[in-house]
Amino acid sequence: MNEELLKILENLKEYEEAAVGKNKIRRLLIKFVNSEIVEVQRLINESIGIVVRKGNKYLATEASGNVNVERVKKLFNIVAESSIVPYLSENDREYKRVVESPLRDIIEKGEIDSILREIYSSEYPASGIINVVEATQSLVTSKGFNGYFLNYYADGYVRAFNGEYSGQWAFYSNDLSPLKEAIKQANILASIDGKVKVDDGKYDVVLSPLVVGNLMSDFAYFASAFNVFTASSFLYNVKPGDKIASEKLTISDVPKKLRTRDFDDEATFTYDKNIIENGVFKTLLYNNELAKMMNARTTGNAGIIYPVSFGIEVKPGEVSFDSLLSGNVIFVNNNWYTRYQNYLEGAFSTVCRDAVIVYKDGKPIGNAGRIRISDYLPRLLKNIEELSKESYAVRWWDAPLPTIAPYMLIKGVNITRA
Amino acid sequence: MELEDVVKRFSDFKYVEARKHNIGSTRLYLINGSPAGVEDSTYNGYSVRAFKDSAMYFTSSTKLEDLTPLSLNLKEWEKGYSADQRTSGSYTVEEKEKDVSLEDKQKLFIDISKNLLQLKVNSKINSLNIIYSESVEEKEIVFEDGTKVYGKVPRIYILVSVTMKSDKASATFYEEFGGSGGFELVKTWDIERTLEEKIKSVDEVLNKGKGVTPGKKDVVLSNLLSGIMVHESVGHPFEADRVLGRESAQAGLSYLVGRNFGEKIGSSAVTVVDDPTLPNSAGFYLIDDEGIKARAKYLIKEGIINELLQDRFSAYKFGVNSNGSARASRFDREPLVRMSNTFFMPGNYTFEELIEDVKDGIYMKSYMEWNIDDLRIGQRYVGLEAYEIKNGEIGDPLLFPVIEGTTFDLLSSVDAADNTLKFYYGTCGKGDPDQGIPVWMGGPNMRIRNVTVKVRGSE
Repeated sequence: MNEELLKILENLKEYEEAAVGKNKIRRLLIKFVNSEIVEVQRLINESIGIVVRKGNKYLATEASGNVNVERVKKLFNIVAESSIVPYLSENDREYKRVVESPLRDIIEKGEIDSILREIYSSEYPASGIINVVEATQSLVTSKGFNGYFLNYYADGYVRAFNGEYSGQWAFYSNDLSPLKEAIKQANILASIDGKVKVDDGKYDVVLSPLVVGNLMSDFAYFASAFNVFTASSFLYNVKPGDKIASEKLTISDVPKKLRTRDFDDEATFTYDKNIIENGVFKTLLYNNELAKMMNARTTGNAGIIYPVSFGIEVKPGEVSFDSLLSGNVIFVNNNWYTRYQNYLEGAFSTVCRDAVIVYKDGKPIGNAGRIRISDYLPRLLKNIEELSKESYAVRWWDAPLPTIAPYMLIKGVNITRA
Repeated sequence: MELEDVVKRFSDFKYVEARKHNIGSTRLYLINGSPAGVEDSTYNGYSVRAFKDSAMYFTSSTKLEDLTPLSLNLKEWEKGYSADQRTSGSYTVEEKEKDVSLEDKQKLFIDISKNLLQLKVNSKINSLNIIYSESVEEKEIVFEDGTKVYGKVPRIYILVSVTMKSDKASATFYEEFGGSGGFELVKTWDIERTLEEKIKSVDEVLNKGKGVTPGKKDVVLSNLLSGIMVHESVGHPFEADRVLGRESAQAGLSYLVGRNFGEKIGSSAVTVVDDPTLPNSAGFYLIDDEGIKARAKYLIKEGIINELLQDRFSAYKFGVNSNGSARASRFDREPLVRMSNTFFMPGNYTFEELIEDVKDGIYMKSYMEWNIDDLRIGQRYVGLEAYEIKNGEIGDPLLFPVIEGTTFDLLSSVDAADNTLKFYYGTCGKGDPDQGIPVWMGGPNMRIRNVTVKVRGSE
């Protein structure tokens, strides 16, 4: 297994530690606009990454196309000692998992008729992307690890247009079964018409799983130990055991549940873990080197130097989505262009879009348009009032990290408009 | 196997472009003045985009032999492409200084970091990190009619990110430098002095910044602010594919949907240009990825909608010619309508003249957060280095004023621009799969009259 990588590793014996990894992606992508197909793309990408370390010197390389080991050696000779260096895990196991999936035929044979039928079935003209992906991750290390994981997944998003109104939904799954529901949800949300003006002020807001997914992609950034180490995170001075959020909130990194990764870039086996549990901070996301520097243990989230999340779950609540809309709230279907003023404070704004519906006494009275949530992420996490029992696995263009999320009711959210 | 052989493989298609696209880059990382590693990457591969009977197919791989046609029966969106004349040719950017060793570059950035970290300021500098990147992008494109295009563009990019904290407030900010060429560019950027000035003025804001009085005010936007504004509120909405709805599920549509050429959307002080031919620019090219000769495009002329950014497929739908705006970021990305170097044209005023005519206003020199809605109408900028203007003079620093308004209000309220023109590096995002491409954005210092200014956190 992984003979090509082992051969490269054989050439790297002069280093204290060496790892050779390969990521291969075969993807079929369908782009559609107004329920017509813009383009079909078939993308094959293979890249080989090499990491070598000797003492306090290291080099990380990645190559799509041919690997040049001599260039790696030449470059290593001129790099300086580093204040932070990667460490590979003491893992000498051989690991292989191959997922079988009917998605394979879609990628190889272009069998997309069933996907097209769903797209054409949208009541309102719909735009979006459907991705069908075969992802292979291989890794061999000088510590004896030899791993191989072949996986399939599908994701996509649909934006349905009802004149000037629109609705959007998304999915992330091991198969294409959620596509029908995504089209249905986008159409239902697009059908809510009427306009209502919302002035700057504080409002109770219900975020859809898409919005939660967008904010969780950012939360994962803040939870990376690297960003805490470099003072670029509002978790900068937070310690395990500190209460930092509503007790209703549990946020977990879930590579196993989402089936995104079995081992990380340093050959640590991944596992699901809580980052925030019932409002209490549990852990940052670590690789070996940041864990060593910050007196913690790796959480199996390497990233060389930079730990990353492999997928997030926000634990669902016990009430229905409908009950969240029962008072005076603004429901936000979707958002984009989230930007931070200040990473240390988590101050940000994001632009709401699609079905942004004002509910009065539990009844929809109109779409508020493209208002902004202009607030602080830590404050939002503290002010979560309820989470729905319904939750969805989503991923889309502006929520790139696969996330399982419920609807979220937050009290007193600062809203502004242009 | 050569690119020409792959083109033959797609001979059933009317339009074929086969591209070999290599990008090699080396990056140095420094955390608080200490080296934090080196990364070296190459993204080398091939792609084919082919079109027939209104069906578009794009395929890419690191291996030429993987690129094969796929037969599809679709209800298609693309209807045709404009009958423009392609241009065979090549363009390259020279690296004047390419013999500086990696060690010397690293030493330079260590010295810059250490000098900046030792600056005597009242705030604490919690962190100061630098990424230095040098890259070479090489494209070879062959079309079904035998046209061949070759382009080679080396680039330098530097990102400096800083976190500072005083007893009163904190700030996280970054400064980017980028362009096409060799290491000679670094000397022209004067990185240490630029960062020294910025750290000192942010320190002043954090320690002495006054609260903002909200309301309608005159605002003088710096070259940096006019640059981000032109990119977000003019460049993106003038992408013809966006107006047609091709990006409607991603970055959205455009306020130009339903508007006509010749319509006035800004004051007569507003003229906007996108020009890929600027020497040493981040968005430099001379022939686009569809084989069309690049040229400057006047998107807005004296406030009037003049021209969109077009590729051959959008141009067909508009019944015009392509103006050479198609670019792909990597081998595994399709060409899209993209900005290159987008800017407001300067005016005739001096900076002092812009200020002296303001009674009660704000000079916004740099920003932290910015965003805009998916029609490119409602936008927001939160100031970092910002100062009050009182009776024609720049006064005390202000704590984080917010401008939140519409494109139409802002473009219509521009009453004067000074005679400077500065460019700033940016990575422009678009498409799915996402394509970040290097661009410049810029403009003069500009005065906007009577716009809404808000207070951060209590808008």
